Amino acid sequence: MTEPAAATLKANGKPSTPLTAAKQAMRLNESSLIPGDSETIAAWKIAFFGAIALTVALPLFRPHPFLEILSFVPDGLAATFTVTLASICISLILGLLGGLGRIARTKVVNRIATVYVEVVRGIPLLVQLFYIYYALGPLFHLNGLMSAIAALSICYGAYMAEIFRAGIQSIPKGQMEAALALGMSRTQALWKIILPQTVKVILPPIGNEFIALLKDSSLVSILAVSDLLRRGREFASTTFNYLEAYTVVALIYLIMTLFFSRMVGLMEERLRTHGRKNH
Amino acid sequence: MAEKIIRIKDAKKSFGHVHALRGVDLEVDRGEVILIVGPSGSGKSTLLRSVNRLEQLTSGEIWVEDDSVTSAHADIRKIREEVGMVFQSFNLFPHLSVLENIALAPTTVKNEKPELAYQRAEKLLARVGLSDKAHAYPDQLSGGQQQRVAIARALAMQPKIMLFDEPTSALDPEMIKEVLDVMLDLAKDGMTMLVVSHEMGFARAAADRVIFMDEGMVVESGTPAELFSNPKEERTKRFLEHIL
Amino acid sequence: MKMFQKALLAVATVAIASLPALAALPKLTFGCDCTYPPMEMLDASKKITGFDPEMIQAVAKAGGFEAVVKNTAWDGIFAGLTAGDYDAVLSAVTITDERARTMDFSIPYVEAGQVIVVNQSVNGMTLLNQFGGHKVGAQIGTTGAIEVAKYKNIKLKSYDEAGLAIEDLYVGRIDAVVVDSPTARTYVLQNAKYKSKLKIVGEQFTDEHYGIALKKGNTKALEMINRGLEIIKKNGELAKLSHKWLD
Repeated sequence: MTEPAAATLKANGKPSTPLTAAKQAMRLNESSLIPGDSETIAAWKIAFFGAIALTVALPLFRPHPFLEILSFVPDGLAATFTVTLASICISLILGLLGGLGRIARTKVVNRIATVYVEVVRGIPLLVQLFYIYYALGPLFHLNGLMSAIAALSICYGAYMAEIFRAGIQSIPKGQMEAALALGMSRTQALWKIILPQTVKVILPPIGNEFIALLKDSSLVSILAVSDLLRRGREFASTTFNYLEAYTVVALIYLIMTLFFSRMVGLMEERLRTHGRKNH
Repeated sequence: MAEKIIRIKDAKKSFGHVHALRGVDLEVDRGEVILIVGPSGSGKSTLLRSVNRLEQLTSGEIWVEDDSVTSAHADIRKIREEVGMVFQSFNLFPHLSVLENIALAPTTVKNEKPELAYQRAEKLLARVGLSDKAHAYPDQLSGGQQQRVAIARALAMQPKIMLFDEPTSALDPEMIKEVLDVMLDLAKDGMTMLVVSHEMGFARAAADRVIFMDEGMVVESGTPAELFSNPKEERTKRFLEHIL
Repeated sequence: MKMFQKALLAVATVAIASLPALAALPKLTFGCDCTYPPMEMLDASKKITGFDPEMIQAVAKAGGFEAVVKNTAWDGIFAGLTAGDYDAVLSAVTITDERARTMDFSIPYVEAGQVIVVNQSVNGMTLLNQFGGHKVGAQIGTTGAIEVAKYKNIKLKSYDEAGLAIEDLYVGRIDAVVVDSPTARTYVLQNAKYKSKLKIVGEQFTDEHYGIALKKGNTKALEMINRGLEIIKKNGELAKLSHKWLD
């Protein structure tokens, strides 16, 4: 999981524009996973189309066992998608609420948000998955899928909260001051001035978290959720084609993560030029 | 109507062990233009920012039009609607166009109808000489242009008082004049202005009073002519030698 | 003279030092998923115990080798065999044709079969084919999972350990568990938590034999193990162990 540079972010003294400074601050944690410049795009193309080529060629030229594997895993793929997308949505909401809570002036709200973030970030995701599935699941009558989504959302929500908080705090103080000086309330300033700028700034780290979540969703196979990895394991354990099964699973994960990282990169570009009517 | 539009009584502000203001008294008449000068660390920005409570005084009181700024029950948002502020680093909202920057507060805070707000925004933009930049974004403007938009943005709320916190200190020399011209214009129209700045030219042209601050206190004050030609205090003399 | 005495001393030392090596027994390691009572599990002090570990010590004594049991996760246990992480798999492994294609088996040493475990509140369902549309759990890659997978209309949920399947059944997340009868009996009849809520229904519906799996071609180890198994079968030790653990 990527760790946001929460504690070390500071707004620059006198930025040329508030946004560049904030972006520079957040770029501390940007990995090269999201293709943006020409070198990484070239590498991305090789990896993506190479993986697709392999995934098509292997079952074509060696249907046993590759075609069998490919026909065995689709429902696992659907489960992986469901878990990932649901968890992304919920963890975003939890992240926004948590981030706002971390900067809230009301002590109670602030304390709750801080405890949430500290506790969740202190326990490994796998342990949280087990805990929520076996301990809390039965209490709330959650089935395997819902427990998996709950665990992933709660865990990633905490990391998102720190990203939101760091993003909000990286917006130069002058922005809030200008808004307040104009007579806006803190809440109005947050929603109209701070958060819109925060979105552009946090998109790279949030994009990274999505990709990480997609990969971490494979952990739910431990909960007997029939996701992609589990289907791969089931196939391998009955046919003993370990190498072939895990190769296919790895290729599918690679295709998915590469695809989504490109999507995030495109969204970033769109946001950079959004609203520039006079360019 | 109150006699004095701003009253500051024994303003004290400490940041931990640092005493930024050590007891400042100041009264401002309606329509007065006051320039506050002094070395860095003298507390002039802190004083300015206390008027709209961007800084909270440790002790002392401030009234704007007989509304207390410093009391615990102060309706600070209402007061801020009457007090406009222009910052050294402009602080324009980068994700909004120039027109949107100006019209935002009236529509959000005063719930003005957008058509009215945008109409007035265009008028204000014309007043600061930037009608052609209505749909531009802040990062497409020069520093001087951004600051002029910032002034228009503050004026959009129709304030009774305008605070200027070193408005030209971040500008390249060739752009200072265009901003000072707007400020002069404002002064001529009778706006009450509190300006922290080193621009002596502006002081001579527009200020009714110049106040010299040092180490958190008002050392001397007088008309520009008095202060610049005949400073009474030693410290004032030394400071003016550096600037003039 | 001094030279001769030194040489004699050296030879004697070497001879004595190599005595233990001459007397040492060949060592065989066994991969074993110790999450499967009563066949193999960890006791309270985390020592490996159960039918299989005890049996293999008896086999080793009779067959003339030293047996070391290694706790290994079931999922991938055969991959470890191929990779040479251990010499054999001793883990209630059912002998099947599929498996026999990729590994060698010892002579069978336990007869078992699959049974169905359900909640005590369930009535009238005793055959696997009645569970269409239901969720049935089994340990991943076991003959139990293979049996369930034969029915396309049953939703198979595969678990890393049999115990996890039983727990989910207890909690109500799945409707039944298919597992080897000795293991089913241990959970349902002996486990304090489960015996009031779970029951075994129907009859054992497969005929299976457990064998020890070895890497294909490892005839030397296979001979030693089979020799030991034959001996403990003949002298009644196997029956005694069976009685102790599996009845």
